[in-house]
Amino acid sequence: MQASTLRRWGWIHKWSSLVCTLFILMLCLTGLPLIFSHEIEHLTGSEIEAPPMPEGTPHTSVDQVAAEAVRAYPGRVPLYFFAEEDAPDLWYVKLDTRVDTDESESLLIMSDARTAEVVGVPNFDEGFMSVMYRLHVDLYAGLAGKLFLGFMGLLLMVAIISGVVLYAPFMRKLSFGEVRRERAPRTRWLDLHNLLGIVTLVWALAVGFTGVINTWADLIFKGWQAEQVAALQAGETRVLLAADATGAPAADGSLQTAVERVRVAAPNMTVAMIAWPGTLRATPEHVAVVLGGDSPLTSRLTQALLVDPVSGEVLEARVRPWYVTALQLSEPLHFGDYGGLPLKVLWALLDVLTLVVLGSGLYLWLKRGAMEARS
Amino acid sequence: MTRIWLWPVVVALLSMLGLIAGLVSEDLGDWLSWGALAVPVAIGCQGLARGRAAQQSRG
Repeated sequence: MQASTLRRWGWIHKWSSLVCTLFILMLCLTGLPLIFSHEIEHLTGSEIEAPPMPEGTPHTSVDQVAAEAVRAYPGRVPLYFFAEEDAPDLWYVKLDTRVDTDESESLLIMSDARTAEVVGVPNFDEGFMSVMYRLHVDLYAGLAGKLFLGFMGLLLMVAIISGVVLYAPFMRKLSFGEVRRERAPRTRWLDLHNLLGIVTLVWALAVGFTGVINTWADLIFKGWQAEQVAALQAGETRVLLAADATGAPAADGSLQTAVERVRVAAPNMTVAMIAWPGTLRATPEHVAVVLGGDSPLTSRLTQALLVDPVSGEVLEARVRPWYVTALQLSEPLHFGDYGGLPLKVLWALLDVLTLVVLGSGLYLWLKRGAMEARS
Repeated sequence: MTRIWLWPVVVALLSMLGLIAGLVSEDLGDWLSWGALAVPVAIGCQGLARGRAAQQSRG
């Protein structure tokens, strides 16, 4: 590589890193406890669990759960029901004063899917983990904060790639993994920076880039919803289950029957979310049922179907566009939550190694004077 | 060229395998994931340990 090209890449590496380093350091530090948020919730007892009942106790209807929730919180209406894979007997129920809200006054409660009883109100807005989450996700600045952190993530991508370009010239006279321990601390840290940077390369690129995609989640969902509504209005829908189809419970206006008809239309899928008519994720006349597959990959790739509770017709408004697939795949690859506790531990160790790369990079820049004076 | 890039490419390919395996298959995929991603972690930690050892021998 020519000296001038090398200098140019060096300049790119220096400035892309310097601008984002403090933010990426913060993201790595706050991300560390977030990797284990599930385990921490469980250990500190802040997790809400369904009361013990014999296994296989049948679930009551979702209409019953909604009615009970509204009875407990008068003046509210249900917006969404969310199901968690590892708590099949609980529904997260989101309530608000109106269905067409911006959710600024929404309330999330947890209901027992078997008895319809309200089990508790999860506390997401207080405590250490909440601070970690907000710092990691939006710096308490909403969408602007998300997009800003996303831009820092893009700079990290530039820093990593320029770092790879610089790796070869630095390693010309060294063998892989060599740390010149007999030399000055700056040389030793340069070798460690290069070694740790190159071994964490793929992981850091994957977690960094999927993190950037996650910052666009709000925009992506709004785009998909607009597309679905447009397809519905233009009549470009595919009927999966006709109103008069046999082999499915007849529509009776209830949500439970509507959801059961969706299950018939899409077998081998599990219900991840139910959106009430009139909400952002549904249409004024249709219930939206969001379904996921049952493997680690397909459970992330959800598909929304619309069902008219009165006629019973099940529609697919639009096949999931590529950008939603990209977002849904980005979530597990960023969180590292798809391979049990061992994967989370590896995620944490790689995160710590990345912290060392960032810290040593900063140290190398601060100590650059010594190097320049000598040469 | 080969001397410089052989190990980085091996580690990069193993990392990719590790990231994808657990996503597309359970059980076997998880084990592949753990095994493959342990390689960059092990090399990194070993490098750090050597760096520390050097510091102590200097002091």
